[in-house]
Amino acid sequence: MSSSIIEIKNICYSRIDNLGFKKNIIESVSFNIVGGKITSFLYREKVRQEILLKIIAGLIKPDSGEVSSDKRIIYIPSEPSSLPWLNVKENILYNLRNVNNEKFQKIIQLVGLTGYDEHRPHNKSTGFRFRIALARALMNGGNVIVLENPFSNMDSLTKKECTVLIKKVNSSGVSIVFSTTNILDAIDLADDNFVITSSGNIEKINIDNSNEENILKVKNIL
Amino acid sequence: MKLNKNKIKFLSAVTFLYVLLFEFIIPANKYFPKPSIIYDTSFDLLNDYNLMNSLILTGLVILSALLFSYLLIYLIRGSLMPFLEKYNNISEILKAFEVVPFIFIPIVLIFWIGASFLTEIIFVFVIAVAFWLFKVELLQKFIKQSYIDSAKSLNVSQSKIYKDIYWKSIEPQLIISFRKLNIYLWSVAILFEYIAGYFGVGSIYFQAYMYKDISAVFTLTIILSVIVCIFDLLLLLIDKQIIFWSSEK
Repeated sequence: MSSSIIEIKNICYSRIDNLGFKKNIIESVSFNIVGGKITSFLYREKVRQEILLKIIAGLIKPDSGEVSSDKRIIYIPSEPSSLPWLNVKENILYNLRNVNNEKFQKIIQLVGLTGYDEHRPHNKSTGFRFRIALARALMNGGNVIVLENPFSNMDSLTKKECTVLIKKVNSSGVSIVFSTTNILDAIDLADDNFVITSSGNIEKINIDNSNEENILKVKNIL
Repeated sequence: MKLNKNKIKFLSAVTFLYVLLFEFIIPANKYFPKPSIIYDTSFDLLNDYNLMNSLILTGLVILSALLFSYLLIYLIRGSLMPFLEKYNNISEILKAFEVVPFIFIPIVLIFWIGASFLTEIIFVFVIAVAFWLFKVELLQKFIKQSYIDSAKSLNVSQSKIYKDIYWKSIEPQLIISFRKLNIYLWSVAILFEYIAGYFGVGSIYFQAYMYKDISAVFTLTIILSVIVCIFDLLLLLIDKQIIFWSSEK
């Protein structure tokens, strides 16, 4: 049986809005993310999911509560993050001192970038840049990859290719956490599903059988 | 200043009209010199006004200010960019001075240090550095957050994020600004030399004004426009050679 790799206990996060009022983004939530699985976070408000994923990835500190994990968590934003002034290889090896060439070759083969080492990512498709970001995360030894709404800028074909790629990366032992507004992505891809509610709470849901009752339940929670 | 087809057409039309009007239709007037006189005056500028030496002097000041100010900003980028990010309202505060007439600065500088070549170099260099500071501060507000988040997640050091990601993100826009600064610095240097009155291209304007030599003013302006344009095209060429990516927003 798989065990928790990320434990989130009572995290809260608030912001001061434009009018000077304190707005709770995340309200005292606790949950665990199980290792080796694909976990989705369904959301309606962009800010809440962005903050939550950044807290999970350790990029933002919560106001209170704690996130504990001994895994290497790497965050991939929704917008392309490969650097346009570097080629594919330089992007993947960015900030790495000791390069394991065998590992590099395996990874670019896994993400389907073989032969594109010298290409520059600028003006390439979002799918191309997503592959680079994924390869870079794997090269940096990511055990958990946090994807912020990965399919938001993709056409349906690229999205399908990337879905297959995410499953492939997951089957190699890497845990995936992603956020989405599309319930079908969650049904298609995720093993565990959470919903970020409009009040900033997190609820675990079961949408294995995508029947009407389940969908309505998700809609109510959102 | 990209010379596209429309600009070339417009310039050709203006030149043609000027020649037609002031060479043939109304050659004798006190406002616009005849094109043939403008042509003759170019030789006078070279021989009597010592144009070549003045051009080399002013050109050197501008070129060195362009290069060394950029080099300075590049070298201190690691500490400059976090400073500008922390105190991001500096330009807003300095805008309080925008109501002060610009001519005040060169005049005061000449009073304080004296009218010399060195004073001009300092003046133009300071203006160029100030230009870059404002530009960097403005541009770094538009750096893609995804680059920064991604780099932080990969444990890239904060100093490397500033030196590498911040800088490279704004570099295309900075190189474009090189061309704006070039045009701007020519005006600044000429203004300074005009006030100083005895060296550089600006001093030729001053002498032409003193001698009431309107054709020298016209000829000098045409020559300078061509030179500024050549500088601009060279910078455009360099820009296309070294910058192959664009600042994404």
